[in-house]
Amino acid sequence: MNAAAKEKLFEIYITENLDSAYRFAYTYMKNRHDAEDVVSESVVRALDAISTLRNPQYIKVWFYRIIANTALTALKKQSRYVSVDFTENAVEAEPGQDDYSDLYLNDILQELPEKYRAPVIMKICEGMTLAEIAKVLGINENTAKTRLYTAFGILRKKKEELV
Amino acid sequence: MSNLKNEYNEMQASDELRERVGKIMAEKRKRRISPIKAVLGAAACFAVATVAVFNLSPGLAAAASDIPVIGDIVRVITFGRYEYSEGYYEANIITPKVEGLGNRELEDSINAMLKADAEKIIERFETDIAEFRRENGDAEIHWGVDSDYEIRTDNESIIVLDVRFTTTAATSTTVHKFYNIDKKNGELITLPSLFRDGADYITPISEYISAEMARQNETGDRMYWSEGDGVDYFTEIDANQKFYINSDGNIVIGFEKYEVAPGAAGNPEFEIPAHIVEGIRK
Repeated sequence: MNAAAKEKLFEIYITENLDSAYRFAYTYMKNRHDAEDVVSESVVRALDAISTLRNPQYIKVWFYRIIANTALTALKKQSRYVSVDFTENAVEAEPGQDDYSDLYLNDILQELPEKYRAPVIMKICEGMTLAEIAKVLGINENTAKTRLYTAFGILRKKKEELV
Repeated sequence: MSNLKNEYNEMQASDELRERVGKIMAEKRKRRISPIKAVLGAAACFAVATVAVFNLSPGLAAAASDIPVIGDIVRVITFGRYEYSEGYYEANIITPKVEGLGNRELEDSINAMLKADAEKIIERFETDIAEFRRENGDAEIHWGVDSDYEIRTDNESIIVLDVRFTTTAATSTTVHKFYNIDKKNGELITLPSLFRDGADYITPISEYISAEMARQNETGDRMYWSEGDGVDYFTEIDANQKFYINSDGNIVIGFEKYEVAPGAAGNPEFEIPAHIVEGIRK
C-alpha cells in the first residue's frame, strides 16, 4: 500500500472512528477539554508519521498507540501525572465471566490509576486481544496481562470494601 | 452488555472536535503546499491571467496586429543559473527567457515574471538556510531548492513553457507554472480564451475530471479525495484553472500537490479528450 492510500485510509478511519478515539483519549484525560486536545494532537502526529503505518490492518492499534503516547505526554506536562505502582500490594484477579457486569465507567475512571485504566477499557469495552493491548501500550503481552489482572484485583477489593 | 461498556459507548465526540479535526487535516495539506507556493504568491493561474489582461489592453492589441507572423523564431533559452551547494544545502535554479515573440510588451512581461520568481526563490532559500543553520547547526538534513523548465509543446502555432519549482526538505513539493504562448498572435493563451464567448466550459471539464477521479479511485490506479473523506474534494475547476495545451492540441488541466489528492499523487494532470469540449472550443 502506497503513502497516498495510507493517508486516505487514515482520513477515512478518523472520520468514521472519531467517537472511539475520543473515548480512548478520555480514558486517560478524564475530562472533555483535555481529551479533545489529545485527539487533535494525535491526528497531527498521525499525519506526520503516516509512513510508520506499515500494515493498514492495524490502523486502530497504530492510532491508539499514538493517542496513548500523546495522552501520557499531556499528563506529564500537567504535572498531575503520578505514576503509582500498585503491583506490589494489589491482589491480582482473573476476569471471570460476570466479573465486570457490575462495573461502571466511574469505577474505572476514579479507582484506577491511568496505567490500568487503558488496558481495562481496551479489554472490556473495545474487545481487543491481549496482543493488541500490548502493542498499543508498547509493552509485552505478559506485562499487559499482569496489568489487566492487577486492575481487576484493585476493582474487586474496592467492591468488597463497599460491601 | 455491561454497564461499563454501555456508558463508555455513549460517549461521543462533540461537533466542535469533529470540526477541529477536519480543519487540522485541511490545514495540514495546505501547509505542505508551501513554502514554494507561498514564496511565489498567488497560484500560477492568477499570474498568467494578469499577463493576459495586460495583453488585452487596446494599445497592445493594436501593436501586436502590426507585427508580421514570426512564430517560427519564438524560442525559450536559459537566461540565468544560480547554484549553491554546501553540506546538506543545495540549490539549482535555472531561469528561462522567451525570445522572438512578436509582441514585445508581452515578451518583456513574461521574462520579468520568470526573473522575479527565480529571485524570490533564491532570496527565500538564502534566508531559509541561514535560519535553519542557526537553529539546527550542521544537522544532517537535506534542504534543496530546484527550478528548471521544460517545453511541453512546440508546434507552428503554440509553444508551452512549463517552469517547475521544487523544494526538498524530507519530502519534496513541486509547483508548476505553465505559459501557453500563441506564437502567431503573440499572446498568452488563457483558459477562457480557448472557448466561445459565454460558453460554459467549467461544467463539462469538471464533470469529466470528477468521473475520471472516480474511475481511478475504483481501479486503484490513484487516490483522489472524494465525498465522505471529510476533506475538501474536487468539485469543479476554477475559471482560470492551471492548464496547458499538449501536442495533440488537447487541454491538460493541472492541480497542485494535495489540492485534490493525498501527497503521493504528486501534481495530478488530466488530459481532456477533444469530444468533451467539442462544440464550445474555438
